[in-house]
Amino acid sequence: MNKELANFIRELKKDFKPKKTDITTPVSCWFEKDLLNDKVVDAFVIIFKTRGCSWALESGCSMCGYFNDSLWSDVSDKELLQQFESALKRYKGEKFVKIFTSGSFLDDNEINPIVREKILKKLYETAEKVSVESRPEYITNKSLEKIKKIVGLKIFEIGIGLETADDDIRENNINKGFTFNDYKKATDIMKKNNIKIKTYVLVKPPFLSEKHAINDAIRTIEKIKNITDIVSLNPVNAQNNTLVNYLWKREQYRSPWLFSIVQILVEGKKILDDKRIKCDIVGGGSIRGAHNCGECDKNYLQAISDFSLKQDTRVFNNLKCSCSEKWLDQLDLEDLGFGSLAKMYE
Amino acid sequence: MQFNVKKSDELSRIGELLINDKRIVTPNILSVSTNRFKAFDKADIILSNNKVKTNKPVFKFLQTPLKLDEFFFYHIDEKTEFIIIEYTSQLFKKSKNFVDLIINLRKKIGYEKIIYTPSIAMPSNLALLCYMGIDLFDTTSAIIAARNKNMFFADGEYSIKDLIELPCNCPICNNINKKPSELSFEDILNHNYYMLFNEVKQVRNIIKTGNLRNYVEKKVKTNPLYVTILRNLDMNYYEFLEEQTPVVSNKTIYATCSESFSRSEIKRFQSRVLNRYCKPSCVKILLLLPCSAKKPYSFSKTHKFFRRAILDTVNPDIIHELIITSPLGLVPRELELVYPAANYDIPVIGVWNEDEKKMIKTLLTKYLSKNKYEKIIVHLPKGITSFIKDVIKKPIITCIDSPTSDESLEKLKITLQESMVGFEKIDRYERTRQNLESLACYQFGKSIGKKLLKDTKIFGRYPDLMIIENSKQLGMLTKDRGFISLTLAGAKKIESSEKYRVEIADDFIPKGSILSPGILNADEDIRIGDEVLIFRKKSLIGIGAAVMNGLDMKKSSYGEAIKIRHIL
Repeated sequence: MNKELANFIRELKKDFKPKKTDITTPVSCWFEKDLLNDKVVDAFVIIFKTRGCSWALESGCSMCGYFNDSLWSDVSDKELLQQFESALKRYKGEKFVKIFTSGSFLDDNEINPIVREKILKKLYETAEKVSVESRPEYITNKSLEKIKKIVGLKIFEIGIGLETADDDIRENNINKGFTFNDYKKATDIMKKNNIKIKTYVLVKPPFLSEKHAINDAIRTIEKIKNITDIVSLNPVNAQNNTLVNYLWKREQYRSPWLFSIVQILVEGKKILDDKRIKCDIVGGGSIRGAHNCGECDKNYLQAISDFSLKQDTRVFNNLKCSCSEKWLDQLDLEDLGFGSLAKMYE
Repeated sequence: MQFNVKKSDELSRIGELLINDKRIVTPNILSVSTNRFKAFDKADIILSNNKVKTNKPVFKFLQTPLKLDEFFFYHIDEKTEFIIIEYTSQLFKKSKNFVDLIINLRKKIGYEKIIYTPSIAMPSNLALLCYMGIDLFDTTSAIIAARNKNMFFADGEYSIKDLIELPCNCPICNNINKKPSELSFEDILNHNYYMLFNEVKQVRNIIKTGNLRNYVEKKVKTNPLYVTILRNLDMNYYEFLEEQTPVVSNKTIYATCSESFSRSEIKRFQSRVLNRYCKPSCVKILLLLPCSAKKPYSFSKTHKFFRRAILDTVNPDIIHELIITSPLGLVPRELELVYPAANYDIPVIGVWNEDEKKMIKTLLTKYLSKNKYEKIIVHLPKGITSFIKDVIKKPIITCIDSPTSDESLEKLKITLQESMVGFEKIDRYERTRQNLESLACYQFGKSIGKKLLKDTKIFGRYPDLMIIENSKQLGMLTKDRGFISLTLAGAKKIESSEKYRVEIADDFIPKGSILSPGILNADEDIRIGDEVLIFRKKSLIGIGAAVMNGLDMKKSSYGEAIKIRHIL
């Protein structure tokens, strides 16, 4: 572990106070298009308010600000179920449900196994596929045992934030707190239990140039192509109280260009072949998120979103903007600048 | 690879970098060479991560991961030992942090290491950056400007869409038949390269003349950020700048803006007048006079009038002349040859601004509390008299309209004559001796000054005066230096003093000059241009003029430290 990095991240959260909110309603829930058995369907999304990601409470990842939505104090089983009840009021029987907790759904400290089972049982009454997220340390034969029974022949998917296949970057740029080997072990267990693997790949961790970030993402995809079932790119955006935000405010970090994401998607698609690669961009087109010049962002975001569903790289064919020269300049020059060129055109 | 500083001017310097028998002069600009960008034809050095076919030196820096603890930091390249500032462009915008980092870095690493600030150099700021002692830059800002369709000018960058004609006579602007708005990226880039490289040549030439500060004060006006940086530097690092500022120089200070008032020469002069200088003890009557455009003052027409009025009285040597001037404040007549009293120029319109008034009032109040007079006669234009009156007890005002009108001069003469009634006649020779004693106090400090002039006689015609004791010459004042140059006998007389001493190693016989490696110890108050007493094995062996300051004499591993004047 990079203690210096971990301490710095911890220090940035020192004065953070969770906002006072209604514990009986979820952070948010909504509908979005996604694929289920190769068909575009409406998926139902719930984000639970929990005590927060155990790792984030310990120190946390350099780019992750989801703890801002967490309560940082225990949430009772009753309150979690109340949140679930509240979300169900909007649920219209969608076949695909995604659950986020801003942490790990399989972490017993975040969600009591009894609550977890109740939620899943209820959802699988109607849903064909439920997707959750977890750090690898909570993915064990034991934790999956009961879930498997509830899932039956339906689909259960766990998303793991591997971020990069490079242990050095994961340790020294992200402070992720686990290794590629931990990921590998967790996915082996998932495979044995017939659970779908979604792997999150981070686009542009801090302290990497745009060019290195692209290369790192592509190398990561190459390395996990035979492990994962689906790759989901996560372009970094500057979220409050994070190291990335600290750098961003000092103009030492720029979220990736949309061109970079397109390049990774195109290269990634070649590598993954019929496996799916997608990208949901948080804060896309804003100065804190992945963006281009501002003029062309909308078109690129639309194309990326289209691609994520259609998996057809031809959606990028007709896109063009003169700001791509600036992006190419940055790829070309940034590594000569000792950090000076992180935001060379802003 | 080897780096030598060839010429310094305050913190700025001309250096020579020897790379495989190629000589590169600094300050210089690394020309970026990448897949997309060809290096500039006229560049001396290339910066590239690729293999480049060229006979010019190519630098490739290994970028280590950026540090976390201190986000504004520097990095020492393993191969070249260059000090490279990380996140320079971000740091540069935070003027105070930028100044703090660069100056403290220089303090820490000394003058023999190269500092490189990536990506910030532009024609408008290069002089300022070099003034801070930065040696290397690169061409990335020219590329960024070109991509944004901006052309470099000497004072900044301008969008091609705002230009009505091509701006200069660089080969691009000269040979191209296009409107500015039709210029291609490559055209703009090449123009920008020319502008950047023109500027670095210009700056090197100016460092060579020893007057970069005048140029910097002009250039910083192109951007408030640059002014802020200069002001931060002056405000927070006066002592450090002062250490590097010669006490003897021929360059002219143009005090054309408020930043000029914070120049280290000026602040040092003011502080020495208050802290080292003491008036000739025999004078009883103070006469305040205006400055003249021509320097030294007594060579000017106006001051010749004043001198005549004084000499026409019965006891002229009881009068002490003190010149009131901006930006120096107070210049006693005996110091008129001293740098920078003899070497400044300021625009005069007869109206004084509040800062000048405050500065003069403060200095005069402090001066008068240390130097006592029986009477004070004010022969100054109304504009000055009006604001200094209230810091003087019972001023006698002699100026009627202009200080040089017949009426005013006549009144001055009569008033002087009247005011000296009852005072003992002062001996001309004794007064001249005391004048030199006052100057020596300014130059060496009180104890050496008084010791040097004790029991001496002065011969010669002002300004070339010789200090003689028992028919042996101790030293000489020349207009050229404005300071007293000592002889061996002069040095002998003050040798017991701890100040202005340099102890050299005993394994060589100095001739002509002494290099810094030969110096064992040196008084840290020694400044460039100072007289230094050269000791070997604790005995005085010679006298010379300092070429570097005392601190550098101790620390530097190469370079001329002392020009020997006399040696045993």
